[in-house]
Amino acid sequence: MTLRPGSVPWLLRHELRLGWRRYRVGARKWSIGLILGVVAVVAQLAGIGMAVLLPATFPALADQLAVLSVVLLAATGLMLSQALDVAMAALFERQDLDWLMASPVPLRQVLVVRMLGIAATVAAIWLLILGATANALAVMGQPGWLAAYPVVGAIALVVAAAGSALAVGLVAWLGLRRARRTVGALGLVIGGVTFLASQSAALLSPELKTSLWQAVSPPCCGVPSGVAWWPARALMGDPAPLAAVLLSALAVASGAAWALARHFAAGAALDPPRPVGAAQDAGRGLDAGRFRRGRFGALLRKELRLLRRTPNLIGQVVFQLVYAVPGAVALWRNGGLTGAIGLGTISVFVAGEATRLLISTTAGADGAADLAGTAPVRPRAVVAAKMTAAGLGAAALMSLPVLAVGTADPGLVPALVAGLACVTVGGLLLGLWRPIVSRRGDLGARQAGLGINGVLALVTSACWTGATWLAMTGSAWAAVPAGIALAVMAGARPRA
Amino acid sequence: MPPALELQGLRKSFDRVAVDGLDLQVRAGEVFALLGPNGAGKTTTLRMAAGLLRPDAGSIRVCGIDALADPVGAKQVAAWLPDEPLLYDKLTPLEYMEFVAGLWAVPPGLAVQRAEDLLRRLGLWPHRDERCEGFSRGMRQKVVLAAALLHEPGLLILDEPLTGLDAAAARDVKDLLRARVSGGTGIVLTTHILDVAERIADRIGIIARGRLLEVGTFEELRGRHPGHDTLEGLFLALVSQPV
Repeated sequence: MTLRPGSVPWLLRHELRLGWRRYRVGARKWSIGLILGVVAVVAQLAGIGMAVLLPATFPALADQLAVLSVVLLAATGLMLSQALDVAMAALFERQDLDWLMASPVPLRQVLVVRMLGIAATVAAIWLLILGATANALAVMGQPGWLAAYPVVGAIALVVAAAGSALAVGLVAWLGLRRARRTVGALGLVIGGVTFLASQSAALLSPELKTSLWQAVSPPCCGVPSGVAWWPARALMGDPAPLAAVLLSALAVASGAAWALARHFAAGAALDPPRPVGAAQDAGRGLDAGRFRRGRFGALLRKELRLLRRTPNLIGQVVFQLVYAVPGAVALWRNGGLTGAIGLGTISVFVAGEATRLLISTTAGADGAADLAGTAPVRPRAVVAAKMTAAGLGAAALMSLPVLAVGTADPGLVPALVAGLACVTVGGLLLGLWRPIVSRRGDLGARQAGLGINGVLALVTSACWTGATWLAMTGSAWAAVPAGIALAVMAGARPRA
Repeated sequence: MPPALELQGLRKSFDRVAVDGLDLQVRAGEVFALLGPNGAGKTTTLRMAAGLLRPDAGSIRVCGIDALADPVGAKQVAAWLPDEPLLYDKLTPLEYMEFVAGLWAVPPGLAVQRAEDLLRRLGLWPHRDERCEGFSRGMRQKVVLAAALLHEPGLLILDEPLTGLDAAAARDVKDLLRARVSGGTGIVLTTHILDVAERIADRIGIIARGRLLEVGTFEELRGRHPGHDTLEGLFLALVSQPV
């Protein structure tokens, strides 16, 4: 189909194409096709399960509406968390922005397309999850559920508008650099809080859950008419709420595009500030001591310095910890985790995620990798320095849990240390073979790297975590997840 | 004294032939400008000379050292400055120089003396403890140049060295390069600004489709191709000819 150059659909196609290429970076066409096919089949199977379970578990319409409202609320929070990062990148950091702003395309049009791109990015996973359920329900005789697609799109559009407004506002208020950091932190907080809230079923006591459920449920009889229930009713295909949700979303997005265009232009035109306050002691000489390092020392010191100066890493590690909480609580409730074993298990998972982030930063985000390539050092030394820096970071992080577990139950320490060593070395190797982020700034994004390589790293971390848990409980089944982790790594190893 | 750079029969192909049997010699103590249209193979040639790409065929000698047999030895006496400065935004100029001095194992006493001298000469001394992330392109270029000169290379490989520099900074850089050349350093540079090549290069090589079409001083080239008074006219006439 030929689209008019410069039109909104033409720009949107450009935007979606770039987004897709960023996602599939490093992956071959057939492999990504295979993975997407598998994901679609698995999602559809899960959707069929949901379609059967939902009416069976919650036969009353009021209960179904309550469940759907909670799901939509969680989806909105998680979308907003992601949208903040995506908006910051799309509106202020992408390199094609100058080119677009210098073109005769109206600025508002550029903003609209960027917002649509943000909406598409944050909606994708929810379209998959809710869409699969809707497909199954439609086949089972309830075609109204297909309204889930436009409703998710509408919510994503509102979220994209809100994320863009926050990004534009923060840039105008704090400047580009500080806004970037604030948006990263805000996205982590919103995502973390939403995730924990969505996992309340695993975290709360049964009594508290019941009283909360009663508080949020609509009256038992008839269709609730309150505006708060409209999104859920729209999702089920109720025509009036559906029309209202779609029109409201369009109004919000159009209003945001109209209101933000001027501020967006001002923010996007900001140059990184030149250093000021240059008046330093012009006569003070240099300390020769700082140059007293060998080649490996220089490489390692550079890596450690750069790691220290990537503050988003800490936020990322905290976020991984938040992700581990519901699973840990559920295991603890079921008696699978007790004291030292629980702490040890969680620390293995966090070590895996921390290692993934650290090695991604040192190996995948080297801003001047060619410099070491032209230096008289062996490539092996460069790689060793990157791995050592990342490994030291992970080891420093994990020394406290090992100490705590050792104090509580020294017998667990060998299994725990073995698990930590496996997850760390495995994470380092995967990070080298399949680097995740391509630049340090990407670490501000919570979703950074959750492409194919990120999924591989997550799977191996989870396997080593399971293996360590089983090993600490004395089970020989620990060999199974360990074997899976090794198999995944063998598959991920690049061919010569 | 051996040539700073000697390329013989150099070949490199990607999806097409990028460099096709290139022979080239850059003498110690001279500035050699490698000129060519976009896609002529200039950057590929320089990347092979810098040790970043391995040629499919041919030989590379840097200050007499066989760069394919002893890449580490060849890199020890060379420095490469690409058109996009190789810089870590989160490091200060001083930390960056400390890192580069470590990579090239420059003795600490010498490194500190040279670092201070270079930072002062290039006007970076007041900014030595500020992170590079806020620097303009010209300042970044100067930081990278300062670091590249720390180990006093025998061969300096420069890809578009004056891009992004203002007039004063460009003069500082040219003065610095001239001083190095008089000390025996060989410089090979690419540029699209033909006036720069005409003024600062001792010899000029013109490359197209991966082959060296002409090499010599500007006067020699003009003598071989009468009717072209400017390097621009000569260059355009040569690169537009079919091979």
